[in-house]
Amino acid sequence: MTRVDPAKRRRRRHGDNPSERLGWIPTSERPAPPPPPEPRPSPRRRQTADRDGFYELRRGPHVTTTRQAEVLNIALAARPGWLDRLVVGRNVRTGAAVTYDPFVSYADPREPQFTSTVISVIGNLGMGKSTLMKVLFVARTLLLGRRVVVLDKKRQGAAGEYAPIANALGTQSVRFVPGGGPGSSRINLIDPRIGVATADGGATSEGRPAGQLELVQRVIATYLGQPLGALGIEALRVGLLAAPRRAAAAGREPDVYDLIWCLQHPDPDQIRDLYDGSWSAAQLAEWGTEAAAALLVLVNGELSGVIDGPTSPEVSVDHPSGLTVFDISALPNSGAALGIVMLLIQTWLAGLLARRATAREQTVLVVEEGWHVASGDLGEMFKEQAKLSRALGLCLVAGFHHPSDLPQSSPARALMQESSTWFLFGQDKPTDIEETLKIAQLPVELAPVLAALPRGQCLLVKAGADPEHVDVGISDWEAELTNTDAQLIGETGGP
Amino acid sequence: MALLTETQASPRSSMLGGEVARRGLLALAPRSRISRTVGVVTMAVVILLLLSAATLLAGFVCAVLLGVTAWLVWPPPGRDRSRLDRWIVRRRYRVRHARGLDSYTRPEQLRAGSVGAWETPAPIGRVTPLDLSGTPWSRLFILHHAPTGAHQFLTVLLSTSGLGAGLWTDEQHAATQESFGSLLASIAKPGRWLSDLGQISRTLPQDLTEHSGLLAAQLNPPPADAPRAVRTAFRQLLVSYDQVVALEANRCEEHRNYLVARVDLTDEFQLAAAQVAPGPAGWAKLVRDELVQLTSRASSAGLGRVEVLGEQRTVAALRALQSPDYQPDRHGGLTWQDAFLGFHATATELVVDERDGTDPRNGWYTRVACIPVHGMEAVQLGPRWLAPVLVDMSPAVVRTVATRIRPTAASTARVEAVKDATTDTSATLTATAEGKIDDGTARVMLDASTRRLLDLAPGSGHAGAQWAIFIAVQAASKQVLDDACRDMNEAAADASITELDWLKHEQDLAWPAVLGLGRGVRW
Repeated sequence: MTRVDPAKRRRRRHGDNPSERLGWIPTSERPAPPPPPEPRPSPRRRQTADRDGFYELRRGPHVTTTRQAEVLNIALAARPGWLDRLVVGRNVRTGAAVTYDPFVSYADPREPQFTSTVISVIGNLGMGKSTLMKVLFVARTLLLGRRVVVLDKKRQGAAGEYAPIANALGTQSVRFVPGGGPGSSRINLIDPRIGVATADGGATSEGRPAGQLELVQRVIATYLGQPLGALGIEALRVGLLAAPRRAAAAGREPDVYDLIWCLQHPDPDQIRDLYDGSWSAAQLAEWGTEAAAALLVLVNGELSGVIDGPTSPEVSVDHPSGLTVFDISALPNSGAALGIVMLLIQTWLAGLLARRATAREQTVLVVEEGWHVASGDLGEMFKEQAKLSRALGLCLVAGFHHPSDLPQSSPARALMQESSTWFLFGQDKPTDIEETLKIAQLPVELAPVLAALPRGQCLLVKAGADPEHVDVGISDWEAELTNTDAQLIGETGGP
Repeated sequence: MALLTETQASPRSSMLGGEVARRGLLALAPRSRISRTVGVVTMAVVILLLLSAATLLAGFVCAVLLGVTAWLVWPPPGRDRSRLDRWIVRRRYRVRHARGLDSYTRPEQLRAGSVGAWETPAPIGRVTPLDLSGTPWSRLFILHHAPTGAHQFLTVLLSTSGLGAGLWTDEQHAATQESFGSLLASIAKPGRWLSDLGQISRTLPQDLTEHSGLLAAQLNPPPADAPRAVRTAFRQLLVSYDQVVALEANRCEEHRNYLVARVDLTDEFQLAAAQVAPGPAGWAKLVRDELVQLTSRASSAGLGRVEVLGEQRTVAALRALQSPDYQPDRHGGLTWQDAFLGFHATATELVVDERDGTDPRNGWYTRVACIPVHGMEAVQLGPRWLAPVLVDMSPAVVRTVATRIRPTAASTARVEAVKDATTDTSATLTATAEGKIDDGTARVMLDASTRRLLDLAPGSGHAGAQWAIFIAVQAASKQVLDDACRDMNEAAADASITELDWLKHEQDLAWPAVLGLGRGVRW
């Protein structure tokens, strides 16, 4: 019997050469992997074969002339737009994403012709105008910490159409209802916080909030249809000085009733101090009769429950949601109420803007149904505000639907013409189409395009740029939030 | 006047189709040398046979020979290539495959047994940047192509911002179109060194990653002590906006446009360059002068901002043209060594930038097509005739459209046009005299040659032009690629392109034609 040396047996099983062994091999004994091949120079080409297309493609060309080859310019679509702005949708013509931000455009030296932050959204009802305003200038803008103020004139069900958006964003609309009632809000006509239109809330030398007298004066003038005389204004000034003292004695904030009382019953001591006996309290009472009567009519009539009490807490300039919606849908279109409330809102807004502009913060004012508010004195105020928008860090967004209905000299038309951006939605009336194109300074060749725009698509016209055909993109949440058909189709809005 | 749309003919329209067949006695379509040789040899044999023995058998043999040869070397109706040519293409593909010429592996990806271990991809051959260091033109990045079978040439890549994103009127389009025609005609003039111009339109899914990053930096959430409803609402706003971004990223595309300037290294060019400065410096000077003229004219032709790309941006553009995984704007630290991504070809497609199993990016299936000579409809085309392919594809497809245009001197083109018009007129007259009923081909060809003749009339300012279009489609899998190619065929049909030749067995060869290297055409 032959004895086999165990070492030899192991050698036979594993082999002498480590690379021939089977099974697990210690790392140290593993053979080095074969080296990768060295890159070689490109193969030498044979001339004939190369000409024949053996090494690279050599197809025969088409024959034409440079006149016909004009259409071979294939750079049809521009490279992507700027990505530091909010997404709007898709450019139908090029398929590229469209972004937009009026504040960034204004600051961008590459857009030298973008000189104003006034935006007009023009289009027929139901074409997506309102949806764009809600998603782009309210919902998406709030992400960037900008303050958004909405004037909501369009009624949807029991409230304005922005009420669901305000609720979804954690706030509630400031709703003005003649006669007041549950859910309605008030703005105190002589609230010191409303009348102040300076950044630091300064007061006049006599302790009256700056701008308060002018506000009350304009409210009365709006109702009367003519300005107060000098004597009436003087009586009003004295009344505004006296009203806070009367309220303080009662331990509450002054309101319009205090002012009316003080106009009717001037304080003889105060009058003596003020005029050194030159004029009497009876004279002041007489001068203030017209103002007091006007205010009495307002608080007992059209503006009952609107300006006749302390300012409601929701009329806050600091709501953490960043959104303030003034629901004016319940106010009648005729009469002085709408104008006076708008005046109050404007004054409130002026104070807000002054404060935010000082802090270099931007504000967006969205005015649905712009034609309602941009007329008369109010229109002039909006026009003024539009002019000051740069200084105030304000972007004014106004929606309009039938531009041909607006007179040539109307402030609304001026507002549209001063815009540097127009979002143009579909129109069907030829006169509206013509007017819209004229306002946005577009060639008449675009009329068929404007007429054929389907719902949800618009032309985005920026000053100094070609108009873009945009399909507005919205999320499911935004679609749900901006659905204005619930009333029409009878949806109850949830289980 | 109505606004121009894709469906309306522009007041300044053009016709690219019409040259639907080949002219001449044999009318042999583009063919290989072998195919032509077979035809000639057969003819010679037949003549010899008939001369040596004019018997019935010889006649029969000759008839068979001629029949078989014709079957082999005449392209079937509606095809550019004969059966013999197609067999040669298949055969050559197998030879290239066996020699590893249809693959390329980047040096750092080489492993034992890797195929395609070339310094540069074989279909691209010897391409090197000109060494211009120490010369006044050191900022120029000029590629020197030295394939053996044709003249050496130089190329420079330029980026253009494109015609714009807005709606244009007929007049605006017409003016731009006319300027582009003038640009082409100017290239054909004596004293210009630019030999041809390529354009590339690259379309990728819109990348909104940068947008999300920029927006995240601007977000302004409510303070921590804000009511819960407000904080919840802000989160909801964010989720909603995310959805909008995702929606747009899915349906939007971004476009990049490039120009490729090619200068052939002809004897005249080299002589002129040598008088300026020795070697590449002289070449660079002449190329620079050409680029100055080109950028100025291209801007007025509505191509927007035109920029000559340096090394890093050229390489970034080349990589972005090869794989959607690479952004054309991310060019930091790139050198010419990084220009080409690995690929391997099959008979019907290429797989570009394939990684090992652990990498999620597992290659882009790519198919390249060209428009064959008979592939264009003879119809009037407006400036947006190619929009269905370039910008209107739905669903979105990753694609590259590359053109090559070589203007030729008006005098030369006129001679050719006269010859073709004469041939076509003669053919039409003969057919009419013989009472033959034509399928319309002769009429279309006569129209095409007559149009050329009219365009080239002395004093018109126009020149001749030769052109080609290549289209590459990319997808993440073969299945998706097949679908994308079907969509591309449909889009091409909408753009009056009757046929796309998907270049079976030539995918590796066609790849450089869509990379902005001035390749793909035999002028």
